[in-house]
Amino acid sequence: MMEVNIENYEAYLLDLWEGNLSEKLKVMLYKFLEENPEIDDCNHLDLLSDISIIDSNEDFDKSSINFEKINLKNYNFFFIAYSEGDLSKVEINLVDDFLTKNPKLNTEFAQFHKVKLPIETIPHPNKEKLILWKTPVIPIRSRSLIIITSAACIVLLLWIQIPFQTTDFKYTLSEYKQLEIEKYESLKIDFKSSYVVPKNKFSEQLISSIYNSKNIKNKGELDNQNFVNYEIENKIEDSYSIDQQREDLINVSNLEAKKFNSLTASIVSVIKSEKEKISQPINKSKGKPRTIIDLTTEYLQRKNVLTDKRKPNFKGVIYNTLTNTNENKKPIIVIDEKPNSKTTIFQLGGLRIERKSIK
Amino acid sequence: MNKHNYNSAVNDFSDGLYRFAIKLSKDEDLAKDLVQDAYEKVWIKKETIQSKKVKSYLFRTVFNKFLDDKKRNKVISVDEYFNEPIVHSETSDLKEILNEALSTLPPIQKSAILLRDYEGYNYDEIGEILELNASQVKVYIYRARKQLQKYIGKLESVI
Repeated sequence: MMEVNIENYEAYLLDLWEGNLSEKLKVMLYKFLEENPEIDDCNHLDLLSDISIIDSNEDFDKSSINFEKINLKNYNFFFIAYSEGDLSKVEINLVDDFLTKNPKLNTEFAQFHKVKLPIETIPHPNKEKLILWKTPVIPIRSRSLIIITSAACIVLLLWIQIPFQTTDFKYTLSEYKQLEIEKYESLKIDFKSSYVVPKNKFSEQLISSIYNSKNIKNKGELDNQNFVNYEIENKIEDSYSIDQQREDLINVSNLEAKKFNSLTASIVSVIKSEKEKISQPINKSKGKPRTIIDLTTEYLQRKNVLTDKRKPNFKGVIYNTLTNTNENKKPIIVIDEKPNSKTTIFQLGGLRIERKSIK
Repeated sequence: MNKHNYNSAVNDFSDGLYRFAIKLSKDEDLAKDLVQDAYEKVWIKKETIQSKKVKSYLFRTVFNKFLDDKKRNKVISVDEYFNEPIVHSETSDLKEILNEALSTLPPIQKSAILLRDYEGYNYDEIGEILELNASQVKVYIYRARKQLQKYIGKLESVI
């Protein structure tokens, strides 16, 4: 057993404070402290009192956390519980007694009753929108997306002019051959003076006249006036006015050209192009720079996807598809004509398209 | 839950839900969105939601959505950190005072109070909505009441 001295007495003191010192060592320690009063006076007793918890007078006020009975430390809890209806009858009586004894707390007690939110009715402004089958439920967050999409669709529709698509259409040429059209263009057909044959005579007479004119042209003898004279000499009577002639010419050009032979179709194209050149505004003919849209449009027009007026050519698209998919090349299968309506059924590959129009 | 139950839920709970949302968010447009989102979610999950539970489901959805948006947008009210009430001595209407006091509460306490006072839910039901146990709900409500009482007390002392 080690002797208590000035070097080790602090370790014995710590053991003493922690209660780990034996009685024999305690006697030794106390004897050492008596023999060295300067140590006892200054340090170790103060330290002992500082770290002592058991002897402290600053205890936690347990009444504030004792919720079995109302007191001045915990009355808030009971006041709230009172207003919430969480108290038993016994506890309510206790609170009432407490308030009687402490009337100054009545104001605070009343305030806890005031903090209950008064009934307030706020009707939903768009309740009907939430009810099914009246209007669809669309999250507001999604509305912006829908609006943008709708706007894009409208712009697209305006561009391709679907809403203004008319029912008249032009059949495309079934076969287009390079037929030395320049020769016929050189005829410089003048609408005011040129002759237009009646519809019923168009086919055979125009073909024969063109053959004849071709012969003459080859001889280098035909000019514009000669062409007119040639037609007159063939005794084809003309009772139409010039305007009527032009109208007929337009009608002829809109006929099903694929039923004509290639030569006739080419001539119709020449006349049409000549007519368009005349009718085009001057400013359009002055080399306007072409955009990518123009180029795309021309390509689609060549492919019969768009009409000359840049409208969707549904007939052309269907026809193009049919020529590739339908071996029989008979796009129109059934035409059911009734007094009030006409139903046309197309075969698009394996798909049947039924078109019904009301007269 | 079928379409009829859903439409009944709209008629019965949409006003209360909107009031809850508007008090919680203090923003009418946001409240409409919250309500609409909640009903949309109910409709999508109608096969799995019991008609008896739809009300609590709606309130829980609104509350969770509000908290999610708040976290996502990181919009944090100064009042949530500085709960010292701003006293407006000119305000005399108790309803307005309570609304001001209510805005100083954290969302969880505010929601508990709103569900308790407006919807009349008990602690268990509120706990189901806020995904807490009844004891936690009680603690939040008591804290909220104490906060509201302090607000009113300060105001009354000023007046």
